[in-house]
Amino acid sequence: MSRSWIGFLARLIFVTFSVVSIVFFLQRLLPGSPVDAVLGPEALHSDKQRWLATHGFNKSLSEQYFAYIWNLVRGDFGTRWMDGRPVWPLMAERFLQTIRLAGSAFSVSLCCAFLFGVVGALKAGSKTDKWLAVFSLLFISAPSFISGTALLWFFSVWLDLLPLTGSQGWKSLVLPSVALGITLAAITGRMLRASLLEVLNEDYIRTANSKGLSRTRVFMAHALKNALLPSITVLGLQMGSLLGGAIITEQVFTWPGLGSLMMEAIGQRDYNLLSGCVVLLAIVHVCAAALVDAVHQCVDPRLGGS
Amino acid sequence: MNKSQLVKKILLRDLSTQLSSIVLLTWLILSLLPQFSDDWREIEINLPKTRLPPNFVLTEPLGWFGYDSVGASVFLQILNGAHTSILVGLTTVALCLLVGIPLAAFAALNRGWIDLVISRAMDILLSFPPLVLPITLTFFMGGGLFNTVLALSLGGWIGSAKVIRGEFRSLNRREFVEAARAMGAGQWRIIVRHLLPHAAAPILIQSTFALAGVILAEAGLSFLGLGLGEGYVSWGTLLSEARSYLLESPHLAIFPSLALLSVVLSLNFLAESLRLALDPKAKSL
Repeated sequence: MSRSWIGFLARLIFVTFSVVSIVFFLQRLLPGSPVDAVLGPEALHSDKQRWLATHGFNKSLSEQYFAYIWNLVRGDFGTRWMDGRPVWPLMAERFLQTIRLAGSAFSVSLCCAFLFGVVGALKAGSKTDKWLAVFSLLFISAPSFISGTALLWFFSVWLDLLPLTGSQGWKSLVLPSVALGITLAAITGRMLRASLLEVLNEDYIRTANSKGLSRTRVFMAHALKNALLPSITVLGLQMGSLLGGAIITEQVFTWPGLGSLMMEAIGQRDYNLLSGCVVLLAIVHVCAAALVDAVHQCVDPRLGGS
Repeated sequence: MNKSQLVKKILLRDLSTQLSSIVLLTWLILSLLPQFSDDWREIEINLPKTRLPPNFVLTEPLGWFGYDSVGASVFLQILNGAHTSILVGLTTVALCLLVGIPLAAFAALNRGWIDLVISRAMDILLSFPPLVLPITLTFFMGGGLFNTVLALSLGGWIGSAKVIRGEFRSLNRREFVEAARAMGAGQWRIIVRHLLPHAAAPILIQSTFALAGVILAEAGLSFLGLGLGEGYVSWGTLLSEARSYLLESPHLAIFPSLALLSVVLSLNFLAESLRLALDPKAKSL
């Protein structure tokens, strides 16, 4: 166990370091000086020079790079150019909102996936199953800027039941969670259905049935338990992408999460804020993937050991 | 089974596959229209027609899907958007294969440091959540066709490379590859003559899924205001503009959504039936 933790830490440090370097060199080596974006191209030359000096742009590239890395190691993500506020508390606040949305979207996804999968497997080949298949593919294909806009139009504009935007109260959480969750539910549901069908054909299910166990017991205790494994992997990976990739959904519902902050940083052309967001998102994404591996090993002991 | 029988078997599998093929073929033809005639390319601003609702008069196709907030025909914009989508989609998938196949082949055939470097590069690129890398790249490099394709490919080649690497690794241990190697065939000859033809089916399936993904990603980038930018009509831009008029003019959102959905859904259906037809071990999902 301790060895796999060391491996994970080494991987995390390597990936974080690479991501930070990529982001840093992307900003510094590509054309276009940030000073034009912040002060405007017509600003006085002396003002530009002073701005560049205060933000450390007058040093050499390697000096800037090491200063940047050193600051990150100390947990200092720099300040926002617009108002000089430190970036880290800003990101932490937004990240909490992203976690809130991801958590509720994940529960939506879990419930629907379970329903889709179990109904699909029990009624395999029926009309219900075929319609479920078509709708699942529809949900998988629909990006959140279409499904989200459709939900907004139906529930907020037409029926006027739920708030259009914002993050106040549970009501504003409903639509973004459904928009995010339903796509993931369709994917997991189809996987669960496929593995359930496979398991239901196994010999031990026939044995359990012929022992005289009730249908429910066979299904819950024998079939479902063994069919869950592939779905757990997918669910875990989805948690990672929920925490790191809900940018478009957050934009559609103007949810004040990390993805929206990233788009704000792009709007303000703020390199510190943007690279902070990207680095944080990448770390979260990697950690989520590692967590899935760990859970997977706990559930399936065959995978552990090596 | 010869090739035409195989194509028939795939495309005529069931109703959904037949419909998907027809839809995709229609979009392909429609997307070429702006190439051939200026009438279909130039989108006129016509303020008196601002946000006119759809009007199905057979002789006036420009009004079929209504007009947008500056009085430009939604039908024309969707046609041009199809051109953009398909252009970006096909170029990106082609570029991904062009980069992915050689890299994956080298990783699969030469265990050791080449494999290690390529795997680590994949690790780093995979640590970015979906869309974060294309967003960051298009922001720093600026928009335009070339940059968008580049940004989408940089994250996209991993998908094809993973499939190809796995496929090549298992093929590499088969007798016919051993035999070719024993007869003195070089690495390139083995890759091109022996491995690629046998891995064609999984590559085709993966590329079809990837095409759907790239078209969605391009629309997503444009929706966020990044990506192609000036000079290109994108379905994502149309959708983001339509959001201001959801109440009064829902047609501005409905038709681009339907266009995007029909393409992506058809591609997914087609990929699924390719998978079922070409992979004997595949299960219906």
